[in-house]
Amino acid sequence: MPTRRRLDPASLFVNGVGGALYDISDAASIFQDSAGTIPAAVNSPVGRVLDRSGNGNHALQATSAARPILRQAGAIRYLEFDGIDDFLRALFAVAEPMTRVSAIRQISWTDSDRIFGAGATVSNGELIQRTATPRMALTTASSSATSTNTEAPIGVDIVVTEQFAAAGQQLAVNNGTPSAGSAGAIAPGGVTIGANRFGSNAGNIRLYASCMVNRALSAAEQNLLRPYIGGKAGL
Amino acid sequence: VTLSLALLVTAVDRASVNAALESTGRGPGNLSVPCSSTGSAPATHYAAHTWDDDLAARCAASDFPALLFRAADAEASDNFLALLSAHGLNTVDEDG
Repeated sequence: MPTRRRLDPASLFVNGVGGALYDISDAASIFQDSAGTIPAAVNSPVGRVLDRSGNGNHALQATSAARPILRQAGAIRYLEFDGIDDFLRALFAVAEPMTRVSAIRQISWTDSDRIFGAGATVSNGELIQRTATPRMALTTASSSATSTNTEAPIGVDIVVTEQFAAAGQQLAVNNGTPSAGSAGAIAPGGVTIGANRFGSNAGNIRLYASCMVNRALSAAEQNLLRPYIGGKAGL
Repeated sequence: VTLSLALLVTAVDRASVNAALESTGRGPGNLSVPCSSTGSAPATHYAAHTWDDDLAARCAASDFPALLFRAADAEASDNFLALLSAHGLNTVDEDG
């Protein structure tokens, strides 16, 4: 019987590849405070999620009211962002090509709200709710320069694959065919999970896991990473 | 944590209330969501939402007199919008 290959996502970051890996199922990587001194508890706010890529790009929130809350459904744990003021942020260098695979749920939809915003400097390299419910898109030169506009169901756990590359962008939901968009350089300066770089346009989402790799992942790598990340949401 | 806690303060009192909340170990800039009656700038009030039973108890005890609040066993967005509606306010869009 053939053995299905399994992926260690940390292997995607060897040889100094930048990025971040956030896994909410990993209880040892989540803390109530941004300093990382108080372990997270279900139904309590979260101020620090460790980056398991080895790059040290931990996602932080020092402001109490802006922290998402850790929820649990059965054996599955996730962060719930209230869509009002919650976000986590990690600042680090990001350039194209960049690939991000994430397990999320859109709890509700509001035009321009962010699932993943930029970390700093400019509003690009983002996953944004855009155009009309329940569509999402990627941003390049600015928040208005969206493309790869794709339907993504509300209230359902999904795996989203984003790829930003010189040849163009790609956005796929679950194992669907990627929609292609125009090229555009990105330099988001990290990631803001659940809001834009100003901490506004807060998205009302669940986050189960996200793997953000500062290189173009091959189709084979994406096909291995998607089930790993999706498994964090029970998919 | 059991209660959704929505918070609101006037723009005039925002800095002092944020400083007071920071002094309790809750970090800077908790009241961050701009609001006005029209939903357009300039903001006349600032709001926040959190899950913080200790803060809810302190609000009920009037520890922060300038802070308006609504604590409820409710969804975050429902509770937040109920507080804003009670004061005739809308959030100001700050698309970035």
